[in-house]
Amino acid sequence: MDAINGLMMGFSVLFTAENLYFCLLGSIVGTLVGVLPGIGPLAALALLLPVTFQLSAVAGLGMLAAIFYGAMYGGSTTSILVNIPGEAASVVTALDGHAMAKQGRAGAALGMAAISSFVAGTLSLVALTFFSPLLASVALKFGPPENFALMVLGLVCTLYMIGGSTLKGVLMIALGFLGAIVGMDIVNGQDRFTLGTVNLSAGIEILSVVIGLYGVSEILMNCETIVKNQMLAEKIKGLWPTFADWKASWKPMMRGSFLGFFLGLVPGGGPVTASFVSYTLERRIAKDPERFGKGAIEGVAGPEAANNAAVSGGMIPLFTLGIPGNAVTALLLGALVMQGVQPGPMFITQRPDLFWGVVASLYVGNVFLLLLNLPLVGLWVQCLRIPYRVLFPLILLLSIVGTYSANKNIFDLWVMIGFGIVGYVLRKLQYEFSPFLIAFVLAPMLEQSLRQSMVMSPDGLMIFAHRPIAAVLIVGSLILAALVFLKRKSKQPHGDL
Amino acid sequence: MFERILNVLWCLLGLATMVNSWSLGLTGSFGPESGFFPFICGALITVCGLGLLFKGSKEAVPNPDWPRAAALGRISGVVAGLIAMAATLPYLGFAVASALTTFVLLQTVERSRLVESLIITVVSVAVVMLVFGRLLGMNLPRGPWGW
Amino acid sequence: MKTISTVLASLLAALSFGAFAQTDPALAKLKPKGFPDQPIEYTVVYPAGGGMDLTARILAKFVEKASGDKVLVNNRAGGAGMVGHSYLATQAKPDGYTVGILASNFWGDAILRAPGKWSLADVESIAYINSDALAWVAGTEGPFKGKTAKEILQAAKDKPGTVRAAVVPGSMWEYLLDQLEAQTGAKFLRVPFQGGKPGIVALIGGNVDVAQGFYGEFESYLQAKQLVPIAVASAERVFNMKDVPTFNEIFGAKQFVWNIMRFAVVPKGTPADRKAYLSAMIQTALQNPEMMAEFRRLGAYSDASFAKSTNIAADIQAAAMKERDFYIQTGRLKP
Repeated sequence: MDAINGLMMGFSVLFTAENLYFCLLGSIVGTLVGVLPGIGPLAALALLLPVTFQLSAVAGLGMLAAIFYGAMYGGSTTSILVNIPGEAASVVTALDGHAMAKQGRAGAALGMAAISSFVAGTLSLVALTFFSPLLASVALKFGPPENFALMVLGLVCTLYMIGGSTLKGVLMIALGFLGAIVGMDIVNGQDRFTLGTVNLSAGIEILSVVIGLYGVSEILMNCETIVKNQMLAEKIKGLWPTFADWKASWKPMMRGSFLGFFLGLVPGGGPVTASFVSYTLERRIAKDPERFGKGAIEGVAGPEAANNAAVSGGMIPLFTLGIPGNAVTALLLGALVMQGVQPGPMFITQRPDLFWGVVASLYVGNVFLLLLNLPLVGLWVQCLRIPYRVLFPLILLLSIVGTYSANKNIFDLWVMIGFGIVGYVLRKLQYEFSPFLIAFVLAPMLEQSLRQSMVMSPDGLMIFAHRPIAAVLIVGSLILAALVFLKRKSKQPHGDL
Repeated sequence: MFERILNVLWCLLGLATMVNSWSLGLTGSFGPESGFFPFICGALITVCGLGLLFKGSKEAVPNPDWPRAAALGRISGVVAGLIAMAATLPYLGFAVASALTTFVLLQTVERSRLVESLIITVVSVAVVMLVFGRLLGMNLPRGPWGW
Repeated sequence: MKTISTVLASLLAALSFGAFAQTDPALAKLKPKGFPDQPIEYTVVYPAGGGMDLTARILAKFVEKASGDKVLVNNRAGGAGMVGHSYLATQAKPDGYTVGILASNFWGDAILRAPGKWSLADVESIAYINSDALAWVAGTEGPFKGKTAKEILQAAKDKPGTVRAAVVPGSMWEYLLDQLEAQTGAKFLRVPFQGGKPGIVALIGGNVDVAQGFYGEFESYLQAKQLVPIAVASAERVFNMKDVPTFNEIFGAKQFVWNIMRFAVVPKGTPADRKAYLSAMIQTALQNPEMMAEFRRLGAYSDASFAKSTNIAADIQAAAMKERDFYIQTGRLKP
């Protein structure tokens, strides 16, 4: 069945009251979950999974997928407004988004975030529609050596994220790596750096890190002064992106979509990585990179497009191969299994009604989300007028519940508080957190892939030379890394590294 | 001064990591073992810490914006509030622990009016419990009184 | 909104079933007074969406139907189950509101990694759920296509350290390979993965030569003819792999039995009447042929020796002790 016919069948399957209702519901819940700090799509999906068992497959999957997308739409809201990321995938949006908000351009930032998300979501779905089988084989080609090479490339991108002191930046990368290592070594079951507690055996929960490091520290910074009235004293300069904004954003949107889609497709990628790599790319190719961090709309458009496209990308290995790339798609897989479906190579041919119905639901979900989020921009901007002294306890409360929702473990709250205090101190001393976070995200897969590759390889490191994709990625990383160091050396002529 | 202490701390952390990684084993029959990557991280941390210590004047923040008396009080209040919340959550249950913490924070850190604080507390806690407890179906910790 | 969607969904379900479900009267008689007055938590120590989690959710659904009580599935994942196991053994309150849904690799944690912190005695088994047998799968492309298990073992013996096998370190994946290597003198190159599924995906991608997993994990690839099971580590042939020989058959032996056995536990000290009720809830659900059908669809089977047991706690304990003997025998545990 070719794509166009399939899609038409999908839409006809989709247009029942039940299917559309749950698609809309998922969009609303997803946006809500994205806006709320801490609680992420994974927790929401896990909580709502039982509801899908009594629904039709298209309704259930449509709802869950809409939540996943919705979280990517909503996550940028708090990032932009109060500099507290709603999701790990929205951390990067805060960098320029909040700067724009401080300049009174919150509306433009929020609007552009929603539009980028929609464009990326739809474009990536088109790619999914027409190229799924082809792309499926790409996902399969990524074995441990390729994964390692990709992670190395990601790590080199972190070098680009270091804006200030190189020493402090590298320190943060090393710390992030170490933080991810805390826990049980999956290769041999040994506990590493767990200080004997079982809680650390599972590793440090990333939500605790994000909320603590970014959220709690932000609140502490703001509480220093009595912010008498609203967060933003500046006048709100218009609610919509200007023509100049559009002109600046459309290319980052395209690049972000493309990049995000592929990073979602391959194992080890995902929305978080996609957002960081997109930001790095935009900064790297911008004519005047000093604007980044101070309110460059490219820094919002690119990452927001990337994280949404990555969601679609992740659907491909799920539907065509039955391979979940991350915890959220693993849950979607579980939902499908509970519906009596085994996603795998035969899925599209055996159940075209279900596959195309879900794809149609994804398209419609994106439309719902755009229609939902754009009008909300006005509402969110009004929220900025709420006095901070009222807002911050609510944000703290939500952060605590959100962090707790990950594992229902009080220990995560202590981690959050610890990172909050440390984050506050480090911010005063001008340390950057982005290198820490991306190293934290990439480290597990990087280490695991390298060790797997070494075991598999009959001739040690040469395995990377034998596998073309891995070789290309590694050579690319080395070149990029060299470029970074050359650039930094030339920027600081007094030899200060 | 604080920064110098921090830099020393980095060095110590780095060294401790290196030592611990050594005991985990650096390389095995197949290449990197458990201790390999942590050892590298520890080494990097130590080197950066040393670098920051010695290039002190160039890298350090000249006058970090440390909070003064009143600000310090507010920040300590928020931190204390968070700690109190995390500590009492398993015993008092979510509703009471968060209500108490929110109320105290509103009253002390930001000096709101009594009635206003009460209303905001009750509404906030109720909304959160509704959204997370009912809407999303999460099992929030209960106190000895069953809710 | 969950309440709205649940109501809507239940209405739809009720309409499709035609009648509202009746709670089981025999079960209702065992219900202690005033219990339960809040939802019962089924703790799953693995992430949501996985095989263990789905089993627990199916069980919860049918237990709710049979008893009329609310059951919530909660995931406490991490450390390959260790976090959840420790929680159940040391922190969970023995008040009848927590039931752990475990797999037999709980014994590995309890016997090898927990001494000093907690032990098997800290939880009490209340019911058997189902089992999943570990099977060997080989690809349908590549140098090992069409080979039987014996041939692959021979290849691993002739060229030690060249045949790549996917393993999950520290679990029955390794134990089975240990036994096979001891039996035949073969030597495999063990490539570590985090679970059965990643190993199977690696097999299809040509990154390993033989993988191990459960039927539910590889069914879709079997249907797509991308792999084929070549041997099963169970006592008898499994219903969904009727023409796949067991390792015991191949070697005329008895020790090649490795499967996931899923069972339910409560923390030690749970009041006897509540424990009996919780156990009866699951037993009643197990009588429901619909639930057994759903389990079979996931690839799991019901092991008669446990399903018909009269003293399940004792039988599960006996199985745990057998595993303990294996650890001593292979030098993993000092007696």
